Amino acid sequence: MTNRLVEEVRPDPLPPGPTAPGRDVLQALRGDPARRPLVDPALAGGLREWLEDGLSELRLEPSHPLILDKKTLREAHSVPRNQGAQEVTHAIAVGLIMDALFRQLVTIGRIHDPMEDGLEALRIDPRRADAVTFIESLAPRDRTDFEDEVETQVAIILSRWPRLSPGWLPRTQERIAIPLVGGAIVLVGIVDLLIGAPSRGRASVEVIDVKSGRPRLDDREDLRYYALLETLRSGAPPFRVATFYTRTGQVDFEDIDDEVLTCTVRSVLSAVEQLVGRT
Amino acid sequence: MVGTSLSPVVLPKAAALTDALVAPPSAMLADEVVLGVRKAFVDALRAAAEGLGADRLMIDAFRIRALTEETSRGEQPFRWSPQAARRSIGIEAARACLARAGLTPLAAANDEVDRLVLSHEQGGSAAGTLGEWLAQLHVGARAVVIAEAAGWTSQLVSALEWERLVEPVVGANRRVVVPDVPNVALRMRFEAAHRSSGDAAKKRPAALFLMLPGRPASTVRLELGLAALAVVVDARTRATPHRVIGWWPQSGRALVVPVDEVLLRETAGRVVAAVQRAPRSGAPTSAPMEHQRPVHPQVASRDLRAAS
Repeated sequence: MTNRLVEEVRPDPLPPGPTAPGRDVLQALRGDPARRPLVDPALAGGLREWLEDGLSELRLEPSHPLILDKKTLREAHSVPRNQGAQEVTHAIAVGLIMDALFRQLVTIGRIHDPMEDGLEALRIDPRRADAVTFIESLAPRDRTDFEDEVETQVAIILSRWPRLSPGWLPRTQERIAIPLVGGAIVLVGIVDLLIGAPSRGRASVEVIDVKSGRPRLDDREDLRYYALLETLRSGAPPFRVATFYTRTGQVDFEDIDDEVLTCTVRSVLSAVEQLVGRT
Repeated sequence: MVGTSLSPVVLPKAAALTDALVAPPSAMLADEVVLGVRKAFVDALRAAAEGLGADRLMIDAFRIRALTEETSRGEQPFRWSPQAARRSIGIEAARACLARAGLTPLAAANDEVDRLVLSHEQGGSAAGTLGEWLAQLHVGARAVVIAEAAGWTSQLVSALEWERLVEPVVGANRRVVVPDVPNVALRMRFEAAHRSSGDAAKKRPAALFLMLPGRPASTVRLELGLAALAVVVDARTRATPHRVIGWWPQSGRALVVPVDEVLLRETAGRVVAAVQRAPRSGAPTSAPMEHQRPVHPQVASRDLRAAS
């Protein structure tokens, strides 16, 4: 297992020259293709069986499937909070805007007007209506602070994020849904960015999460959960997972191996047990 | 039998899906069986459709599912959204990728959106079309549409080993009006069709490939059966489906359903039930239509292994 925090804060763009912007970020994201592990064809099936066996011992109702995402699982061991819709805060709104702008950069290669581009991306999604309302109703001074933060983070992205080869098949906001125990439990996730063609025997995909806030210990757990979902979905684990922090330009990555995935299975089973016991 | 699930752990997945698509038919429906199913279906549908308005009722997978899940469609008029647009753009982008080696899904989706916008701006698309909708979107919103379409295209292009398919049809989304029942149409939708080699002048067995969102529902067999039934009913097709493969990339699930008389009759029964349940004043929803276009395997060859 490799755990590393790379990339120091680098507020200024890389100097012109033979070193392309974000080359070191790219190296952290892609690693050495020759070192990517061969896929154990029995691994995904084994993980799935382990989950199925563990979950089948719980009292579940297939007619009312439990839909579990990273946040639900993360909070399973904490005191339950209000189960209603999450209230939009300054941090959440920044995160949503930055997710949209990151997606735009990967998709069309440019950002014109950060606030306008980001808001329009949110406006087209009815689920983001609350965030749009929140941003549009900010007091002038708060709105200025908000815009400053977004523009600062965009400047960091533009200076740090590398240009990806389209041949790596970058997929943004990729949805994954893994039904288990006859559909009584569904593990879901939306991955900010997946790169790499589907595996043909060697691990080939990387999972990337984008965070606009400060690094947290839970960030790694989120990535491991996504790694498990991708393994169950595709039959092959990602070779690496990474978080790109838009407020610093840092990349935190972890190579994925059997140990990481088996620990995550235990964590998911434990969280579901807590949740089912609570319902 | 519901169908055969492909193992979710076989790699490469595209090889397993293609194996299922190109495998020779285990059994072919006799012409008299097809004719019998079609006649019984049309007779039952004609009776069920009495009292429906003149507006055409579209039977699609959602209506089949709604019968079981007691969900309500709400009969809301169709509106473009990134999710509604991704397949229309993605099919054209996938065709371009399969025809031009080196073209990637992301570039192809960008190109297709540019083409639609340009076509609209030059007066080539009518009100309410995808081109018009895209043209009035701000760059931020348009990027969301392209991203959705590029993701969809990537999933389709990497789902199969296309070079192994014979005269593949890439994408079909047509309304099949049932003969003698003009106010009911079946949605014929699939992402790919592979026809076994043979005499081009005769009907040839075809395997259909559907790429579907989310995860398989309890009505999956009938939803896949609807694609086969629509082909059987459509007088324009010269192929008889013998197998339907459903692929859910979001969940990694695949299901192979052989097309037999039981499947067609069960599906026909469900369609009739959906028509009986439809509001008598029901207004149809409209959705984008695409036309099937063959992509020849000689130009469809593309090595995705180099893309890692």
